[in-house]
Amino acid sequence: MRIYQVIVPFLGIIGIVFTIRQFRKGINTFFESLLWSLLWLFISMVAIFPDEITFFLSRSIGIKDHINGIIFIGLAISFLLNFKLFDSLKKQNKIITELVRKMALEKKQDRTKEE
Amino acid sequence: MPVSPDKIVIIIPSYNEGARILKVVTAIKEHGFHNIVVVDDGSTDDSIELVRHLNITIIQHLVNRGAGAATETGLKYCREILNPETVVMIDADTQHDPNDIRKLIDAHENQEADITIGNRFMESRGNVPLRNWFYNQVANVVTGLIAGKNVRDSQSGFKVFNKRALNQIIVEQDKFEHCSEILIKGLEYNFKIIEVPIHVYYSPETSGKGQHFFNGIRTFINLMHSVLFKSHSK
Repeated sequence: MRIYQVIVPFLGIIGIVFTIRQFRKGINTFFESLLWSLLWLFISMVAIFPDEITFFLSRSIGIKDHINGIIFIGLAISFLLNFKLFDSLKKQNKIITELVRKMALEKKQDRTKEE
Repeated sequence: MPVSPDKIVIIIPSYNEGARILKVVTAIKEHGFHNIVVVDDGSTDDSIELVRHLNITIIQHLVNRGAGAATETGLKYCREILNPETVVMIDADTQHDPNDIRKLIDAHENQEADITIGNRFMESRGNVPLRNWFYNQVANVVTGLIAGKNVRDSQSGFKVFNKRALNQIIVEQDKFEHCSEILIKGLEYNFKIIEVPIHVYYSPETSGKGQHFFNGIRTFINLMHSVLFKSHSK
Protein backbone atom coordinates (compact mmCIF):
# COMPACT_ATOMS: atom_id res chain seq x y z
CA MET A 1 0.00 0.00 0.00
CA ARG A 2 1.29 3.43 -0.97
CA ILE A 3 0.93 6.60 1.07
CA TYR A 4 -1.40 8.23 -1.41
CA GLN A 5 -3.75 5.25 -1.00
CA VAL A 6 -4.23 6.41 2.58
CA ILE A 7 -4.14 10.16 2.04
CA VAL A 8 -6.63 10.32 -0.82
CA PRO A 9 -9.37 8.16 0.78
CA PHE A 10 -8.78 10.12 4.00
CA LEU A 11 -9.37 13.38 2.10
CA GLY A 12 -12.35 11.68 0.47
CA ILE A 13 -13.87 10.85 3.86
CA ILE A 14 -13.32 14.44 5.01
CA GLY A 15 -14.98 15.64 1.83
CA ILE A 16 -17.99 13.34 2.27
CA VAL A 17 -18.39 14.24 5.96
CA PHE A 18 -18.15 17.93 5.04
CA THR A 19 -20.72 17.41 2.27
CA ILE A 20 -23.16 15.69 4.63
CA ARG A 21 -22.71 18.46 7.20
CA GLN A 22 -23.43 21.12 4.57
CA PHE A 23 -26.56 19.20 3.53
CA ARG A 24 -27.77 18.87 7.11
CA LYS A 25 -27.23 22.57 7.67
CA GLY A 26 -29.39 23.21 4.61
CA ILE A 27 -26.59 24.89 2.67
CA ASN A 28 -26.49 22.31 -0.14
CA THR A 29 -29.36 20.61 -1.88
CA PHE A 30 -29.65 16.83 -1.90
CA PHE A 31 -28.55 16.73 -5.53
CA GLU A 32 -25.42 18.79 -4.90
CA SER A 33 -24.55 16.66 -1.89
CA LEU A 34 -25.07 13.46 -3.85
CA LEU A 35 -22.93 14.74 -6.72
CA TRP A 36 -20.05 15.77 -4.47
CA SER A 37 -20.23 12.59 -2.40
CA LEU A 38 -20.06 10.49 -5.57
CA LEU A 39 -17.06 12.48 -6.79
CA TRP A 40 -15.24 11.99 -3.49
CA LEU A 41 -16.12 8.31 -3.53
CA PHE A 42 -14.83 7.93 -7.07
CA ILE A 43 -11.51 9.61 -6.27
CA SER A 44 -11.10 7.45 -3.17
CA MET A 45 -11.89 4.28 -5.13
CA VAL A 46 -9.34 5.20 -7.78
CA ALA A 47 -6.72 5.68 -5.06
CA ILE A 48 -7.56 2.35 -3.42
CA PHE A 49 -7.75 0.38 -6.68
CA PRO A 50 -5.45 2.43 -8.90
CA ASP A 51 -4.45 -0.27 -11.35
CA GLU A 52 -7.89 -1.68 -12.08
CA ILE A 53 -9.48 1.72 -12.56
CA THR A 54 -6.57 3.59 -14.10
CA PHE A 55 -5.80 0.82 -16.57
CA PHE A 56 -9.43 0.83 -17.59
CA LEU A 57 -9.35 4.63 -17.86
CA SER A 58 -5.98 4.69 -19.60
CA ARG A 59 -7.22 2.10 -22.09
CA SER A 60 -10.32 4.22 -22.60
CA ILE A 61 -8.71 7.64 -22.89
CA GLY A 62 -5.08 6.80 -23.71
CA ILE A 63 -3.14 7.94 -20.59
CA LYS A 64 -0.34 5.49 -19.71
CA ASP A 65 1.73 7.15 -16.99
CA HIS A 66 1.91 6.03 -13.36
CA ILE A 67 2.13 9.25 -11.51
CA ASN A 68 -1.40 8.61 -10.42
CA GLY A 69 -0.77 9.28 -6.76
CA ILE A 70 0.25 12.90 -7.25
CA ILE A 71 -2.48 13.46 -9.80
CA PHE A 72 -5.15 12.08 -7.49
CA ILE A 73 -3.99 14.03 -4.46
CA GLY A 74 -3.95 17.13 -6.65
CA LEU A 75 -7.40 16.28 -7.95
CA ALA A 76 -8.74 15.70 -4.46
CA ILE A 77 -7.43 19.07 -3.21
CA SER A 78 -8.70 20.73 -6.34
CA PHE A 79 -12.17 19.25 -5.85
CA LEU A 80 -12.18 20.36 -2.23
CA LEU A 81 -11.31 23.93 -3.22
CA ASN A 82 -13.87 23.89 -6.03
CA PHE A 83 -16.47 22.61 -3.65
CA LYS A 84 -15.81 25.44 -1.23
CA LEU A 85 -15.92 27.98 -4.05
CA PHE A 86 -19.15 26.55 -5.40
CA ASP A 87 -20.71 26.73 -1.95
CA SER A 88 -19.57 30.28 -1.37
CA LEU A 89 -20.82 31.41 -4.77
CA LYS A 90 -24.26 29.94 -4.21
CA LYS A 91 -24.55 31.49 -0.77
CA GLN A 92 -23.34 34.87 -2.01
CA ASN A 93 -25.77 34.84 -4.92
CA LYS A 94 -28.69 34.12 -2.63
CA ILE A 95 -27.63 36.83 -0.20
CA ILE A 96 -27.20 39.39 -3.01
CA THR A 97 -30.65 38.63 -4.43
CA GLU A 98 -32.26 38.92 -0.99
CA LEU A 99 -30.43 42.18 -0.35
CA VAL A 100 -31.37 43.66 -3.74
CA ARG A 101 -35.01 42.63 -3.17
CA LYS A 102 -35.11 44.07 0.34
CA MET A 103 -33.64 47.38 -0.82
CA ALA A 104 -36.04 47.57 -3.77
CA LEU A 105 -39.09 46.94 -1.59
CA GLU A 106 -37.97 49.34 1.15
CA LYS A 107 -37.31 52.07 -1.42
CA LYS A 108 -40.74 51.48 -2.90
CA GLN A 109 -42.40 51.76 0.51
CA ASP A 110 -40.46 54.93 1.32
CA ARG A 111 -41.63 56.49 -1.94
CA THR A 112 -45.21 55.45 -1.23
CA LYS A 113 -45.03 57.17 2.18
CA GLU A 114 -43.63 60.33 0.60
CA GLU A 115 -46.51 60.42 -1.88
CA MET B 1 -68.48 35.30 -8.83
CA PRO B 2 -65.76 36.82 -11.03
CA VAL B 3 -62.92 38.56 -9.24
CA SER B 4 -63.06 42.32 -9.69
CA PRO B 5 -60.17 43.81 -11.71
CA ASP B 6 -59.37 45.81 -8.58
CA LYS B 7 -58.41 42.56 -6.88
CA ILE B 8 -56.19 41.45 -9.75
CA VAL B 9 -52.53 42.44 -9.91
CA ILE B 10 -50.43 42.12 -13.05
CA ILE B 11 -46.71 41.56 -12.41
CA ILE B 12 -44.30 42.39 -15.24
CA PRO B 13 -40.63 41.57 -14.67
CA SER B 14 -38.60 43.75 -17.01
CA TYR B 15 -34.98 44.06 -18.02
CA ASN B 16 -33.78 46.44 -20.74
CA GLU B 17 -37.03 46.20 -22.66
CA GLY B 18 -36.83 49.67 -24.19
CA ALA B 19 -40.09 50.85 -25.72
CA ARG B 20 -41.62 47.35 -25.56
CA ILE B 21 -42.49 47.76 -21.88
CA LEU B 22 -44.49 50.91 -22.65
CA LYS B 23 -46.45 49.02 -25.30
CA VAL B 24 -47.19 46.13 -22.92
CA VAL B 25 -48.26 48.32 -19.98
CA THR B 26 -50.44 50.54 -22.17
CA ALA B 27 -52.17 47.53 -23.72
CA ILE B 28 -52.82 45.95 -20.31
CA LYS B 29 -54.33 49.19 -19.00
CA GLU B 30 -56.53 49.40 -22.08
CA HIS B 31 -57.89 45.98 -21.13
CA GLY B 32 -59.08 47.37 -17.82
CA PHE B 33 -56.33 46.15 -15.51
CA HIS B 34 -54.91 49.03 -13.56
CA ASN B 35 -53.07 47.30 -10.73
CA ILE B 36 -49.79 46.79 -12.52
CA VAL B 37 -46.49 46.09 -10.80
CA VAL B 38 -43.44 46.47 -13.03
CA VAL B 39 -40.31 45.01 -11.47
CA ASP B 40 -37.35 46.60 -13.19
CA ASP B 41 -34.51 44.12 -12.84
CA GLY B 42 -31.61 46.58 -12.90
CA SER B 43 -32.16 47.84 -16.44
CA THR B 44 -29.39 49.94 -17.90
CA ASP B 45 -31.64 51.53 -20.51
CA ASP B 46 -34.36 54.14 -19.98
CA SER B 47 -37.28 51.71 -20.26
CA ILE B 48 -38.59 52.46 -16.77
CA GLU B 49 -38.65 56.21 -17.38
CA LEU B 50 -41.00 55.56 -20.30
CA VAL B 51 -43.68 54.03 -18.04
CA ARG B 52 -43.21 56.12 -14.92
CA HIS B 53 -46.05 58.50 -15.81
CA LEU B 54 -48.59 55.68 -16.27
CA ASN B 55 -49.72 55.50 -12.63
CA ILE B 56 -48.38 52.01 -12.01
CA THR B 57 -46.26 50.50 -9.26
CA ILE B 58 -42.58 50.37 -10.12
CA ILE B 59 -40.09 48.40 -8.05
CA GLN B 60 -36.48 48.68 -9.07
CA HIS B 61 -33.67 46.22 -8.44
CA LEU B 62 -30.39 48.06 -8.15
CA VAL B 63 -28.62 45.35 -10.15
CA ASN B 64 -29.78 42.62 -12.49
CA ARG B 65 -30.64 39.41 -10.64
CA GLY B 66 -32.66 37.49 -13.22
CA ALA B 67 -36.26 36.96 -14.26
CA GLY B 68 -36.99 34.61 -11.35
CA ALA B 69 -35.63 37.08 -8.79
CA ALA B 70 -37.71 39.91 -10.30
CA THR B 71 -40.83 37.75 -10.33
CA GLU B 72 -40.38 36.84 -6.67
CA THR B 73 -39.91 40.52 -5.80
CA GLY B 74 -43.27 41.26 -7.44
CA LEU B 75 -44.91 38.32 -5.68
CA LYS B 76 -43.46 39.35 -2.33
CA TYR B 77 -44.80 42.87 -2.80
CA CYS B 78 -48.23 41.39 -3.52
CA ARG B 79 -48.05 39.09 -0.50
CA GLU B 80 -46.98 41.80 1.93
CA ILE B 81 -48.62 44.97 0.62
CA LEU B 82 -51.32 44.54 -2.02
CA ASN B 83 -52.96 41.29 -0.88
CA PRO B 84 -54.77 40.58 -4.20
CA GLU B 85 -57.15 37.71 -4.96
CA THR B 86 -55.44 36.93 -8.26
CA VAL B 87 -51.98 37.60 -9.66
CA VAL B 88 -51.09 37.50 -13.34
CA MET B 89 -47.48 37.30 -14.52
CA ILE B 90 -46.73 38.39 -18.05
CA ASP B 91 -43.52 39.04 -20.00
CA ALA B 92 -42.46 42.60 -20.75
CA ASP B 93 -41.18 41.92 -24.25
CA THR B 94 -44.52 42.00 -26.16
CA GLN B 95 -44.27 38.24 -26.61
CA HIS B 96 -47.63 37.71 -24.92
CA ASP B 97 -50.95 39.10 -26.07
CA PRO B 98 -52.71 41.19 -23.36
CA ASN B 99 -55.97 40.04 -24.97
CA ASP B 100 -55.23 36.63 -23.44
CA ILE B 101 -55.20 37.95 -19.86
CA ARG B 102 -58.99 37.90 -19.58
CA LYS B 103 -59.08 34.44 -21.18
CA LEU B 104 -56.62 33.10 -18.63
CA ILE B 105 -58.42 34.70 -15.69
CA ASP B 106 -61.81 33.40 -16.85
CA ALA B 107 -60.51 29.85 -17.19
CA HIS B 108 -58.70 30.21 -13.87
CA GLU B 109 -61.88 31.26 -12.07
CA ASN B 110 -64.29 28.93 -13.88
CA GLN B 111 -62.15 25.89 -13.21
CA GLU B 112 -61.16 27.06 -9.72
CA ALA B 113 -57.49 26.56 -10.49
CA ASP B 114 -54.63 27.44 -8.20
CA ILE B 115 -52.23 28.05 -11.08
CA THR B 116 -53.10 28.69 -14.70
CA ILE B 117 -50.37 28.44 -17.33
CA GLY B 118 -50.58 30.20 -20.67
CA ASN B 119 -49.55 27.41 -23.01
CA ARG B 120 -47.81 28.38 -26.27
CA PHE B 121 -47.84 24.90 -27.74
CA MET B 122 -51.28 23.61 -26.85
CA GLU B 123 -52.75 23.94 -30.31
CA SER B 124 -49.67 23.91 -32.53
CA ARG B 125 -46.13 25.29 -32.61
CA GLY B 126 -47.68 28.44 -34.08
CA ASN B 127 -45.08 31.11 -34.75
CA VAL B 128 -42.65 29.93 -32.09
CA PRO B 129 -39.19 29.82 -33.70
CA LEU B 130 -37.76 26.33 -34.09
CA ARG B 131 -34.84 27.00 -31.73
CA ASN B 132 -37.16 28.26 -29.00
CA TRP B 133 -39.50 25.34 -29.61
CA PHE B 134 -36.61 22.87 -29.31
CA TYR B 135 -35.26 24.34 -26.04
CA ASN B 136 -38.76 24.42 -24.62
CA GLN B 137 -39.36 20.79 -25.49
CA VAL B 138 -36.11 19.78 -23.76
CA ALA B 139 -37.11 21.85 -20.72
CA ASN B 140 -40.54 20.21 -20.75
CA VAL B 141 -39.01 16.73 -20.71
CA VAL B 142 -36.64 17.60 -17.85
CA THR B 143 -39.37 19.36 -15.84
CA GLY B 144 -41.79 16.52 -16.54
CA LEU B 145 -39.29 13.93 -15.31
CA ILE B 146 -38.69 15.90 -12.13
CA ALA B 147 -42.33 16.70 -11.52
CA GLY B 148 -43.49 13.20 -12.46
CA LYS B 149 -46.11 14.58 -14.77
CA ASN B 150 -46.37 15.39 -18.44
CA VAL B 151 -45.67 19.10 -18.86
CA ARG B 152 -46.43 20.89 -22.11
CA ASP B 153 -45.08 24.38 -21.57
CA SER B 154 -42.84 24.50 -18.54
CA GLN B 155 -41.14 27.76 -19.56
CA SER B 156 -44.17 29.96 -20.07
CA GLY B 157 -43.89 33.30 -18.30
CA PHE B 158 -47.64 33.94 -18.67
CA LYS B 159 -49.29 32.60 -15.52
CA VAL B 160 -52.10 33.22 -13.10
CA PHE B 161 -51.90 32.52 -9.37
CA ASN B 162 -54.75 32.50 -6.90
CA LYS B 163 -54.17 33.62 -3.33
CA ARG B 164 -53.20 30.13 -2.19
CA ALA B 165 -50.49 29.81 -4.84
CA LEU B 166 -49.33 33.36 -4.18
CA ASN B 167 -48.88 32.68 -0.48
CA GLN B 168 -47.32 29.25 -0.75
CA ILE B 169 -45.04 29.39 -3.77
CA ILE B 170 -41.86 31.24 -2.94
CA VAL B 171 -39.68 31.48 -6.04
CA GLU B 172 -36.11 30.66 -5.11
CA GLN B 173 -34.49 30.34 -8.52
CA ASP B 174 -33.17 33.65 -9.81
CA LYS B 175 -32.97 32.92 -13.53
CA PHE B 176 -35.21 31.33 -16.14
CA GLU B 177 -35.53 28.03 -14.26
CA HIS B 178 -38.07 29.70 -11.97
CA CYS B 179 -40.80 28.73 -14.47
CA SER B 180 -40.08 25.04 -13.95
CA GLU B 181 -39.68 25.62 -10.22
CA ILE B 182 -43.20 27.05 -9.99
CA LEU B 183 -44.66 24.04 -11.79
CA ILE B 184 -42.72 21.53 -9.73
CA LYS B 185 -43.69 23.19 -6.45
CA GLY B 186 -47.29 23.55 -7.56
CA LEU B 187 -47.50 19.85 -8.36
CA GLU B 188 -45.78 18.98 -5.11
CA TYR B 189 -48.33 21.04 -3.16
CA ASN B 190 -51.13 19.29 -5.07
CA PHE B 191 -52.32 22.54 -6.57
CA LYS B 192 -54.83 22.43 -9.38
CA ILE B 193 -52.82 23.49 -12.42
CA ILE B 194 -54.57 24.13 -15.71
CA GLU B 195 -53.33 25.21 -19.12
CA VAL B 196 -54.93 27.64 -21.51
CA PRO B 197 -53.74 28.16 -25.11
CA ILE B 198 -52.25 31.60 -25.72
CA HIS B 199 -50.90 33.56 -28.66
CA VAL B 200 -47.24 34.51 -28.77
CA TYR B 201 -45.38 36.92 -30.99
CA TYR B 202 -41.65 36.59 -31.42
CA SER B 203 -39.53 39.40 -32.77
CA PRO B 204 -35.85 39.08 -33.70
CA GLU B 205 -34.97 41.02 -30.52
CA THR B 206 -36.97 38.83 -28.19
CA SER B 207 -36.72 35.34 -29.66
CA GLY B 208 -33.15 34.83 -28.45
CA LYS B 209 -33.80 35.82 -24.84
CA GLY B 210 -32.69 33.04 -22.54
CA GLN B 211 -32.43 30.63 -25.43
CA HIS B 212 -28.73 29.84 -25.56
CA PHE B 213 -27.04 26.49 -25.22
CA PHE B 214 -25.06 27.48 -22.12
CA ASN B 215 -28.13 29.10 -20.61
CA GLY B 216 -29.84 25.78 -21.15
CA ILE B 217 -27.06 23.91 -19.37
CA ARG B 218 -27.13 26.38 -16.48
CA THR B 219 -30.89 26.16 -16.29
CA PHE B 220 -30.64 22.37 -16.24
CA ILE B 221 -28.08 22.37 -13.43
CA ASN B 222 -30.05 24.88 -11.38
CA LEU B 223 -33.22 22.99 -12.04
CA MET B 224 -31.59 19.84 -10.74
CA HIS B 225 -30.86 21.76 -7.54
CA SER B 226 -34.49 22.60 -7.26
CA VAL B 227 -35.47 18.94 -7.60
CA LEU B 228 -35.01 18.43 -3.92
CA PHE B 229 -35.56 21.88 -2.50
CA LYS B 230 -34.07 22.34 0.87
CA SER B 231 -36.41 25.08 1.99
CA HIS B 232 -39.97 24.70 0.78
CA SER B 233 -42.05 27.47 2.16
CA LYS B 234 -45.51 26.10 2.64
